[in-house]
Amino acid sequence: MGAFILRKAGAALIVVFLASVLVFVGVRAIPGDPALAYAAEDRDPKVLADIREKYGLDDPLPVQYVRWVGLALQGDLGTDTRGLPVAETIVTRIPLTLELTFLAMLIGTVIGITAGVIAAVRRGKASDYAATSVALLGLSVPHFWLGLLMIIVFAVNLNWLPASGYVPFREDPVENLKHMLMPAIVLGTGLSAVLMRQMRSAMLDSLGADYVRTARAKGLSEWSIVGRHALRNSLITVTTVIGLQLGALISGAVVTEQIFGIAGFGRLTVDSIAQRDYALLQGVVLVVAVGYVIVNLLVDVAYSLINPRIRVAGTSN
Amino acid sequence: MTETLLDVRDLSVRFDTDDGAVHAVDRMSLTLEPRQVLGIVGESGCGKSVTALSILGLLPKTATVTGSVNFDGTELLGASKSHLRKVRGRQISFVFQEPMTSLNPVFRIGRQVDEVIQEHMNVSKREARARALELLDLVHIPDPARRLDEYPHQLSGGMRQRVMIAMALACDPKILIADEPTTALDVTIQAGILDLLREVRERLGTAIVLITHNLGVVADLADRVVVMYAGRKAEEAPVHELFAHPQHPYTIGLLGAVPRAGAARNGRLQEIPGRVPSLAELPGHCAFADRCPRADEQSWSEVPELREVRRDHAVACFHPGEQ
Amino acid sequence: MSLLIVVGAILAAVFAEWVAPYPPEETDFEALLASPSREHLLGTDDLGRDTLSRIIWGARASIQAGFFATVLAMAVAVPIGLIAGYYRGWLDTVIARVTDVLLAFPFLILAVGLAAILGPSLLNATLALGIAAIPPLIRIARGETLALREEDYVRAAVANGANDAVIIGRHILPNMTSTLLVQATLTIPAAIIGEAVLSFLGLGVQPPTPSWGVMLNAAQPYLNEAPSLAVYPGLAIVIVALAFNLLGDGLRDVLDPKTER
Repeated sequence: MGAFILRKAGAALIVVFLASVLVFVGVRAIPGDPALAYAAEDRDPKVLADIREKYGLDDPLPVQYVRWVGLALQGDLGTDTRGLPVAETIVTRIPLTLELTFLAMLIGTVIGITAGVIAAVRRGKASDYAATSVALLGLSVPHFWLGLLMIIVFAVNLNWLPASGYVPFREDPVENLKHMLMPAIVLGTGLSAVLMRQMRSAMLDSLGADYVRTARAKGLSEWSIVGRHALRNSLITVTTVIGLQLGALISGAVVTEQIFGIAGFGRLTVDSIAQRDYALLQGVVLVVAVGYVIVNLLVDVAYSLINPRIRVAGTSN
Repeated sequence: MTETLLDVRDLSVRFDTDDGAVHAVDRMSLTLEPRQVLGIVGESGCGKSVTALSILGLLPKTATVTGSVNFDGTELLGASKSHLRKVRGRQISFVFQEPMTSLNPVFRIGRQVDEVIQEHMNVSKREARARALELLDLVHIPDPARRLDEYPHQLSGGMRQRVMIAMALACDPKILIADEPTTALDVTIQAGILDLLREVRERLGTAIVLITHNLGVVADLADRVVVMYAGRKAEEAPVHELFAHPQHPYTIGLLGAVPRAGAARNGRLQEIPGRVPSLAELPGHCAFADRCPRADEQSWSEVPELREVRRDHAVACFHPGEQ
Repeated sequence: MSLLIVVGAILAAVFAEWVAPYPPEETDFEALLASPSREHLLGTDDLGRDTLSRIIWGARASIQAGFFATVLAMAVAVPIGLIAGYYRGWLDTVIARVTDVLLAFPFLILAVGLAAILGPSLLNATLALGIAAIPPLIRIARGETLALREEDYVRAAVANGANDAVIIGRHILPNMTSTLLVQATLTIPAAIIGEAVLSFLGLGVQPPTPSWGVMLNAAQPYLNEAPSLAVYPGLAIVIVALAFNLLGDGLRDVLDPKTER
């Protein structure tokens, strides 16, 4: 078990390293002179030269990379074009996005898994067709449009929920949830659709498996056959899917925050691209990649916890 | 003759598939007495497993089952789900062919054995665990206490099959249905499992329905043998009678395919030419006709009914005989 | 049904000039933010442009992006996946690792980043979406190759001394076409939605050129007065994406013997 996690963590480190190189090179590939972004209106060659000097922009790329990574390891991601420390900006934005993705994940998982199980158990019946059709629809609806529709219905017409903004949870939990409800539903829809489909097919596989026939022959109740024997095995498949869907969740957060005016991490990403804020963009994308890798590591660990074949053997087959 | 434990009458099973109906079993009848071992023999696809599964209503919903299954005085066909559940695992239990996949991979052995005990007996968790330990010991699993905490993938095929048998015996059932219990195992392991089944019958007095495609297995263990072909009973007799005086050409063919000491070495195994017919439609003639050296006009125009040709020996053939 | 919608959308995109009732950029100052009427079946936007016509023209951007991005991704990913899965060894390790790294960047984030690097335009958005779709496809093609490589008929071919090109071309590739075809049908709607997102964020098609994402972005300030401006283009996305997804599902059911319904 320990060896398994260590091995996975080692692989994750390599991925993070390569990702950081990619981020660095990628951001430098964006057309435009980084110095210009810092200089704002000032096009005086002397000012630009000073800026290059100050930020070391004239050094060879590998040197700049090593300096960037060195500082990043100490928690310093440089300063953005407004002169604010990037790391600090990121830290203040993260909680919003974390809350949003967490709520979305909660909504998506609960709805997706429940609907998937029901559809599989009632296969071929009306409720199966209904759940399957809704899931397919959910897959085809772009987040941002669903967000706009919800704003039109619940904010503009019914005036039930606020259309945008964010209230910290500590200030007013109720208002916080009111502001977060629509974005979280919007973001969770895609996940629940994917999970529903995966859960349905995994459950159908499990329900047809020999061990379920054994459970039936043992005289167990339908509840423990479905809820224990089949569900546990299906969850193994679905855990992996949740990990893979995390990327979609992060991408979705970018768009969702844009629509609901939540000044979170996704918004920061879009803004930093729009403003050609290199230091900021570098930092943001690096944090996304690292976060993604960490969560996938956690998923691997969770996977090994529910799948004894990996836990004991220490190797996947 | 003693009282009958299980009485299956005119059992027919039809599956509705996308490609039309498939008749898996046609008017099958069986009886089983206490402590008896009944062997059901036939090639794969002859309907022997389907017969067994239909006894406990374990077939998928696409199956239509007609006839009667009388267990200990109560009818099981069409019985309520809750009634069936009380019989399953408690009165009649199953051991399946695939020990690799028949145990749930994500639960420890102990839990899977406890589960059936707790479902049917009014016992505490601790008592159930004690019983589980006793059961693993009964089926000769070495170091049973440790095995209880292991997962199925940590056990060999033979050990898993022993666990399956332990689970099946957990509630001291009256009947154990073993569906090809040794087919998926290595030859050396097979003998051990058969010995265990024999021991179960001797020590616990459990009646056993042994389903196999291997007449050798039956010869070893069964009191009585039913030979099935294409969803129908071809021949039925006590085991010694059947081996000494086989009447149906199909049985004779099967016997030719049994590797007997000596015979196998100097000669090729005799194979029955042809294939098992598809059961999409029941033929209006003897189903074995196209593979039978004795087939004649009658075989091709009528279905042979079961009739007694020797004492306690029935066969469905127009031209029975030993040679 | 889904096939009909897909074909219809493609035809509308190709023949937009003839299908659309108005040119997409023609303004009608008599009717700003008009509700649906006989002249403007789905109403008009803030500049008096006909919504229906713009949706039809918008199909062109969407279908183009969806189709070409998928073709690009397939053309790059399948050979790489085949080579990695067939030859194994260090090359495979490198490819698998790089794929892992790229997969650490979510599809849309990657597309957004690439679009930012390339600069906003339909062509660049298509390129960005196509490149972003490569990593998962490599993984699928590689996995499929690894599995097929172990099949008896492939082993038999190897034992018979067939050369690698023949084995890959005749035995492996044909056997994964159904998987790839299904994957393609599912990548197209993802790319269509991706194009809409990029354009919505201002990183794809630039106004005034019509695209569903551009239209939705432009509709945002008018959610109060003219909500239908935000509804119809989105509906167009949903219908086309749904049709492709249904088609993919249907293909999978037909082509993949493992999934029985």
